[in-house]
Amino acid sequence: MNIVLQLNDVNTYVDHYHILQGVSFQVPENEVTILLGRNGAGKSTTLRSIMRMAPAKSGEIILFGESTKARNTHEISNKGVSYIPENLGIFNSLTVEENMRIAAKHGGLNYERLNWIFGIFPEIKKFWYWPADRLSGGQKQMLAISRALIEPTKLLIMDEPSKGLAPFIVDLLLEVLQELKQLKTTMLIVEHDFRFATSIGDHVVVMDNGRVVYQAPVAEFSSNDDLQKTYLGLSLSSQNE
Amino acid sequence: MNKLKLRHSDLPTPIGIAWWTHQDTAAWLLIPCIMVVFLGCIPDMSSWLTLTVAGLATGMMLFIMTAGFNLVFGLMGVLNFGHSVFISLGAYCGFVVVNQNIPALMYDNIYLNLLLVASAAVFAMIIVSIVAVIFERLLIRRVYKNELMQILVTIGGLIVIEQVIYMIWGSESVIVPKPLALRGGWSSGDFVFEKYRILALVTGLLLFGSLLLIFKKTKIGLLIRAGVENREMVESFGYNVSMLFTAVFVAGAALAALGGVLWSFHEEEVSAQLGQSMMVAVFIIAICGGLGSIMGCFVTALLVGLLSNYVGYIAQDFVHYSTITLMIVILIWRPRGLIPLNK
Repeated sequence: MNIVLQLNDVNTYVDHYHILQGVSFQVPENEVTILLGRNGAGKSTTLRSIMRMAPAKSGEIILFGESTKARNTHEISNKGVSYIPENLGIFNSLTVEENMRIAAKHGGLNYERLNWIFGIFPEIKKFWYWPADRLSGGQKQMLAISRALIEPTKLLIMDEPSKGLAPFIVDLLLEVLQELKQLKTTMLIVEHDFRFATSIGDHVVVMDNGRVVYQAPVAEFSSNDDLQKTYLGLSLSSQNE
Repeated sequence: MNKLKLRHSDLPTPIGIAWWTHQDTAAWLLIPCIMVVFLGCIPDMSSWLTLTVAGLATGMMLFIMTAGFNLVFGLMGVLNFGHSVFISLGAYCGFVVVNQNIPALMYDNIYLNLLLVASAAVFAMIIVSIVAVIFERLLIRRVYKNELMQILVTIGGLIVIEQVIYMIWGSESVIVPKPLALRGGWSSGDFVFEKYRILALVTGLLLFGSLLLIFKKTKIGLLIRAGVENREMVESFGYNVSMLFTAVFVAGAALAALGGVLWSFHEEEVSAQLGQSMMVAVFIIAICGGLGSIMGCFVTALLVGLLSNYVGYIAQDFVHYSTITLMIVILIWRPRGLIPLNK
């Protein structure tokens, strides 16, 4: 099993706050790793550290076998990493089309791929010339995912992709991610929706207070209510009730 | 490859073109409004016409000087007080070219004279661009996101470059005569249509058109607009925003140099204080136009140019008050600027 991404004892500070306190975990190739944890556990900061938007003060992040210490955000992205932040990072002053053009970093838009995206999210085609700030929350989420998909990606990093979405859009999103999984796309997803996480994930990494407190295959974690209650304060069975 | 065909019928209810809104129309209408208002205040039609052309030409030169400052402020969040020294340095570089080609200056041939002005402008833009690269790499890069340090560091840089100007050209102002074929103008009754103002008008319009095209139609323009909104996100798509910032900074400085050259021919003299004397107008135009907004900058520059010419004719002492009043009115009406970039 190849390892796409590896974090070794990563410590990150945001201003004077010590947010990540020795985070270590791995993301295997062609699999989906889910990062779980309560609010404030350091999940988003972990993703930002990987992208070097919040650079780690110590420790090591190895991406595709190479340390990212001397790399900038754009260099990490050009290694084939797509990142969707929690706030989606939509350029509101630009149109949907312009948002997509920015994401197509290697030349122009790939129309074949674009048609594939339109098949998944017809809304993107419908609102193609609209300013992005006129889109609803769900449509912005679709745009953010579409931007991440417009170019082939080796590692897709998503911060709470199902946040604030209507249930039917969450189901649609799950279908898209399943399709990507079948296309052997490696993914690292921060997710609060436990059911969403278990239906797509292969591995789970649980964080608490800036540390990794548990990691295992999803099946193992989802079958153990006690572990879920201990680390997340809730369990899959209680969510189902 | 399966080419995508997007039809207008695919779109829902039209909501207007994304980059043109009613707000923009209202802002552009201020220009004819101000003209009409002063048509009533200036009894003589010929004088009004002369002042209008002069005001528009002044506005164009102000736009050229401000566009770069506005871009740097809007995109990079850098308040570059050193911008004024790029105007002065550009003007002096233009003077060097003119000084070496006095015979061409005195030759009554419009093409030769235009070539001389163009050579002065290109030389000034190249030299100032080189200085700007050093300025950005040495000073600006260290103070991104630290506004207080930006003010201190850019003022420091300004003082250093200004002292270099004094060392090279002395503290006395130098004469930059207009090329012979660009002096004077055409007159009809009291109306005077100065040739040099036409050159300023055309240059300003060409520059405005080019900048709009770059911003709306090219990938680099798209990245600049996106970078103004969210630099981090542009970087996460694999673009080197740091290089983009340097390019914008250098382009801004080159535009300042062009503005300096045009202004020096207009005033027919250059001093090290030239840039600083323009900075109040530059600040007002940048803030009132909307940070990073080329269109806002253009409209406001024309308004300032027109207003200062009209008021200067009626009551010379009130020119500065009129510009400040314009700023107050615009900012009360639209606190984010006349045509903000992010509508």
